[in-house]
Amino acid sequence: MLKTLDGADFTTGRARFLDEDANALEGTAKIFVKIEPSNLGFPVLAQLDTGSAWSILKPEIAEAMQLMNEEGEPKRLSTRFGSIDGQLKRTNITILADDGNSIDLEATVFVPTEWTGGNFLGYGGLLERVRFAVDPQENFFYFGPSA
Amino acid sequence: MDVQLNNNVFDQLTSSRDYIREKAALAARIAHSSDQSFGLGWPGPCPDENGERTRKAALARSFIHFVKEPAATFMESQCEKSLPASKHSVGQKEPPPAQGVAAENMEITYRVALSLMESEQITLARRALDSLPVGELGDSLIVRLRTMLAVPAAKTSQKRDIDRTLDYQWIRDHAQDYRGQWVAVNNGQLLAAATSLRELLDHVKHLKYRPLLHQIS
Repeated sequence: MLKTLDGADFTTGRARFLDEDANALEGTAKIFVKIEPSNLGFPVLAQLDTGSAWSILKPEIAEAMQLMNEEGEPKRLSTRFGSIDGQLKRTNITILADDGNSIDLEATVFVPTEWTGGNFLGYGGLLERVRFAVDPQENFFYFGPSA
Repeated sequence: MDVQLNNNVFDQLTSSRDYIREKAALAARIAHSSDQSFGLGWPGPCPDENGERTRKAALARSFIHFVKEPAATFMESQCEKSLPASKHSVGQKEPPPAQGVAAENMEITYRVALSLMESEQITLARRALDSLPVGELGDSLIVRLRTMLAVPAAKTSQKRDIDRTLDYQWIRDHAQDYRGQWVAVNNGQLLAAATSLRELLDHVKHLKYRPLLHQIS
């Protein structure tokens, strides 16, 4: 795993990412990493988006997580698809590793009322406590918890 | 200078709480000294990068200190001129001064934190909430907002997935054929496809291994 200059662990796990979404209308390469939302029991893909204020989970996934009945904070979010209504929810998400350790996150995510886009990992409420690095040659996503 | 409160949050204040609206407007003038409206910053253009955002953040920070001041100080004096003749409607029981002031400050701070959150200034929203006295942190609205704005907690886990290179390749090769559908793929093989996640889960929940689930957009 990656080390800091003083030899401490910088990341604790790594996983291969999908670097394109052949079906995406926009067509440019993106980084999709594997996550496992709590209670879902299966891995799904989420686009890494440090420019997004919040992470977004598809409503169907939130429903499968039994998250829809949890109390949330109503919010309107501006996206490239336009403004969308939904709620901020506190939940648990695992970023899955192929090698090394995964990380469990207690994070805040935005669950839209209606949403045709994918899942996103945004900075606020989630990535702000994750160290990560990308190897675009090998398509490895290195990550670990930020102290 | 007229600062417009375009945030519905402020519009939800009842008429008997107009004085709180006045204080919130004052806060907005302090935190946003330009002619931009306060809160819900998403519809407007992004602030330019020549220090404007930094300046606004500094002003907002100064407001956070401002709300921490005792109620009898600057804020009260500045609001005095614009307060209605009576803060409370006729017949309404007026709370004890100290309690009333604390409630006012809590409500203002909540509204400001909410507005900062709406404009994606998460760190400042956290600081605004942190400025509240400990005794006021038990309010249910405050608790909910603090929970949502809490920094994420991360810890390592022994859970591990498999290398999905073959599954990624399957998605690249077959996406055109499954538009709009949910698919379950494992080891480069399609296990199931369905029009909804719920239906797909019915197909795969009894498997001994865990396929990758993905909706082809």
